[in-house]
Amino acid sequence: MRHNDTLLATVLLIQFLCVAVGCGSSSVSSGTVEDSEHHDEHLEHHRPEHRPASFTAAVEQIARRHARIQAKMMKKSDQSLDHEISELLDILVWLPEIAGDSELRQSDWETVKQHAESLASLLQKLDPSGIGVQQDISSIHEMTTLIKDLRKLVPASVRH
Amino acid sequence: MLESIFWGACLRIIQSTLQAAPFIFTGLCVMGLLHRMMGQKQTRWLFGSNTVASLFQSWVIGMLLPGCSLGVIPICKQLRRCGIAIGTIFAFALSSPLFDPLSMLYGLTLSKPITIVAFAFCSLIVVTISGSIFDWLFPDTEVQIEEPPAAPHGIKRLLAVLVVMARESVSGTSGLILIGLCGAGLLSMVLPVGSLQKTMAHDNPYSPLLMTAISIPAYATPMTAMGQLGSMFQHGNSIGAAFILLIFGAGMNLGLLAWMVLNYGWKKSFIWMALMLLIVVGLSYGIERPLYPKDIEPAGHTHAFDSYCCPFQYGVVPTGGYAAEIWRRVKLDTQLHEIAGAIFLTGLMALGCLLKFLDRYWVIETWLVRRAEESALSSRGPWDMVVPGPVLAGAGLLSIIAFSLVGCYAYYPSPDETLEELTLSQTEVLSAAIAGHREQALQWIPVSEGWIRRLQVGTYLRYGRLSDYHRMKARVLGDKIEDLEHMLENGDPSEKIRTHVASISRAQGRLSRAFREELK
Repeated sequence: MRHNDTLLATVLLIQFLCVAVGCGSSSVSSGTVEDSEHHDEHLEHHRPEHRPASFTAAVEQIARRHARIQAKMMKKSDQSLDHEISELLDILVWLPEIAGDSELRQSDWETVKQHAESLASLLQKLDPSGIGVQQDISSIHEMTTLIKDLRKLVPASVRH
Repeated sequence: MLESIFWGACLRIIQSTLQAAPFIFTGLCVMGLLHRMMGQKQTRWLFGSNTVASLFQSWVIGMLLPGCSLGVIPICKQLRRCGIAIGTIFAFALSSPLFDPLSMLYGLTLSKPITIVAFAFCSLIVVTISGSIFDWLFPDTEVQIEEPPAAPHGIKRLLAVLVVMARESVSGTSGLILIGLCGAGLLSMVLPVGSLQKTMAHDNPYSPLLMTAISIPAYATPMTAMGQLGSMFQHGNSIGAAFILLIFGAGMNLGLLAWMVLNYGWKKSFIWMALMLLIVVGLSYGIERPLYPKDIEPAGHTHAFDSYCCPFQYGVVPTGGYAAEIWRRVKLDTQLHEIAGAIFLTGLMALGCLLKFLDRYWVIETWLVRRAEESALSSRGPWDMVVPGPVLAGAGLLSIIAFSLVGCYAYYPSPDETLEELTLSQTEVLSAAIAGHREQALQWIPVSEGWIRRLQVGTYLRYGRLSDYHRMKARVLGDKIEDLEHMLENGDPSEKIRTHVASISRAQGRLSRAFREELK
């Protein structure tokens, strides 16, 4: 008798799990299951528009965006730098990966990674309201030196 | 459609069986050592029972011994025979399949190894809390089963281990293992191909719950689960769901649940399961934010769970038919240690069947436990020492652990060897992609991805570290291969694919250079 009970309980347990899985799959993917059946859904990794395609392009963008931020700060423009800083930060976060997809050797790549981190840290200290206090100006100058170093690595990043 | 579902389930069950074979064999070895060498008293001493300390002891032993959720079934049965409380048994059963040296090394070379360490610590919390509460609620789960007479020292004692392993392999254990394997088939029957690709997002609060429903019937070896965790981290999926995948996907299966229900009844099983769900799901929501990697761009999809879904597109018959396709995929996916495990297991089962047949005429155990004449005992040489069974069992268990550590060097070869293997698989992928052989390229992509991971772990194993530079080179190539996979799945134009293939070749060249010339 006890054996029958446990057997029944086993069957019920398995059935419960089947139902749970069935419900789970249908409830989550009212779209996905059908999509997959029709196989018309495009799977891809999201690539933001401002992501540079190469190390050369990345350094160019960093220099250009840095120059724009510097100009706004020098003019003491009241225009917010939020958007500009945020996109430049994105590029700096991607920079080691972009450099990893180039011909740079280990020591150069490590320099890029360090510089990207230093630049990001300096950038985060800037006041996004763009008022341009003295401390921000010195950060901007420090960034200029780091960007110059990055520029020097561009020739080594491309195949000859 | 029904044909695709049926053959899909067959393929998943075959794949799971082959993956499980080495672990089931190891589980039977451990069971045999505990049964015939260690004995009930020493096993109880080793694992403890009904105390918080015993839960920790079992967790540590589980962490050290290589195993999977199917391979622990014979060990759990043996622990029960030894009169160990259920909380302690399940502390072992849950922790043993989570990590082994192979998967631990894999996890430690992921970009955020701290997450893996945190998962291991969380698993200790799970087994300690659930085991303590359960043992407090039901303090009477230790059963008393009479121990069989010990075999005399010498060859008979070793043979007795083999005999008990063979008998166990064709006992109710195989039925429970079959139930566990059916879980994998069952999942593939209810989940159409690729249906989990858009699930398990970090920002979806239901991801851990969905993962719970999927991972309980699923079967995953420690390596499979770790590979899936790596993929989830890379794609920015839910960390809570990843934790549940590890605990329930790797640590549990339907066979283990069935064993619990059959031995302890539905009430205790239900309460234990409810406790587990409460603690594991609760923890998974707790770790979601703190452990989520900040520098990951969520991909919005994942391939980690494709292996749980039906492998065949409904209504699309593969070229050459289902049977040929299954054979081709099994040949491509099966690794050497899985083949060896399957051969040993088949041998054991054949021996088990033979013993069952012989039982009608002659029971081998009667001969095994028969003592030799006193005169034969006294004629033993001075160096012919009697080593106590528990010492032999301890040496056996340590050998299994040592073997699994040494096995890491074979599974993760040197960078040079791995690069050669990677080149071979990449040639298949890239040539098939250029020639427009989509299916062939898609089949070889996971092989290449596997070698990229093994390259990193093999380097870590031999050099003691893996630099960010080398990690990045591997990540760049891995991402490009995944992009190619999406292009092929999406049916992108051949010109675009050719351009991308050229980019992959360059990335592979740089990866080879980095691992051949720039390793310090």
